[in-house]
Amino acid sequence: MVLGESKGGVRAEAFGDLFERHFDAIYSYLARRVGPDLGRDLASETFTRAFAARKRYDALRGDERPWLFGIANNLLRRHYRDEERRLRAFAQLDVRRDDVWPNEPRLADALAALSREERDVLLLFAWADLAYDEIAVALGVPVGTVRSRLHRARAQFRAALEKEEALDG
Amino acid sequence: MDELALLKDFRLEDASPNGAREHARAALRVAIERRRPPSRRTLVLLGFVGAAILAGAAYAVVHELTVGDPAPEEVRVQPARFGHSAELIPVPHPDDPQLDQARVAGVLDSSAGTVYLFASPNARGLCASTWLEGNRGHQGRLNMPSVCGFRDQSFFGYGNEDYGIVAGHDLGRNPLRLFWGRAGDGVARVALRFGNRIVIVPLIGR
Repeated sequence: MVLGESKGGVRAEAFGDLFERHFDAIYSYLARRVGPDLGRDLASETFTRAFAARKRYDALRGDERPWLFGIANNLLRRHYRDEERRLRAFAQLDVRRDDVWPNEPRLADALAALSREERDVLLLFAWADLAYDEIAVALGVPVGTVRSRLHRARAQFRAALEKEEALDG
Repeated sequence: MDELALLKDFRLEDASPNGAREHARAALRVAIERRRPPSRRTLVLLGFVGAAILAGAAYAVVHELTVGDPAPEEVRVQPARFGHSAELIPVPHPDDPQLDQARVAGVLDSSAGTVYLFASPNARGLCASTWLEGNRGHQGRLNMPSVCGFRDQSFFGYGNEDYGIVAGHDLGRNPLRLFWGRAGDGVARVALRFGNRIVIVPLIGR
């Protein structure tokens, strides 16, 4: 009397594809911000949270990257202090050591000097390769806010690097 | 100075995933296996696709919705009978709809009378059951065809009510054909294909 066909787990399989496509980018972004160990845990949590919230994701909005980076960035918020401690440690590195990239301490110092909001925008732009509108989706702020934050962050970052360069010179 | 170019190389050595992908994949697998039973919101998405597509004389209009409410007690105490004949003493089967947890997913006013769509979980996913008001069988039990699917599946059922006289309506002479299923929020209509004939049906009763 009643017919019903099943194609169970289709969405779960689709989520597997999404994981394979985006894991490296998410992990790379997080690991560069908080280190490989914590980055690994946060990347893993990003995808388990995304899976739990997959029904709320609006596929019509387009690329899923901003959505995933938004989740990753939310998770990062609990670890801003870890990130800042890490940046301060890199800023203290001795550039005369063979294993230290000469630009590393001053870049770390300049990044640490940014506000958290500015650092988020700058690194989503520089490391995650997100466009302005994608960053806006990821952070849940208007595109205009992204533009102004990024402009301010780049100016401050550049000024801090130039200051370091002048001091070194 | 190109500060972005400098930034691109900062801590690049941390970017290599190494074993991180396997770690995350294992965690994700656990999360997938622990998926919870469908929420009330999921149940609400269940709705009639349409009714009486093939029977020219029939029609259907939704006039009332009480979706999400628990199903009437008489439905919830029905011995679950799905895919096998009823036993004298019903033995629970993982494929059976757990009708004790049934909720109203749609109410449809058709040419044969009011039709109710109930949603309930089973061990593997979600089930939908329909009942044409007044359609009773042995010992007054409700005649309720059901269809089940896996969680998150967009499954569709087809019920052909073509036997007996229910509330004065001769289903043998004028059968009622029901389609039901689950679709996302953004789906407004579906296309049903019968051979080379396609019928566009607006989603109603959700």
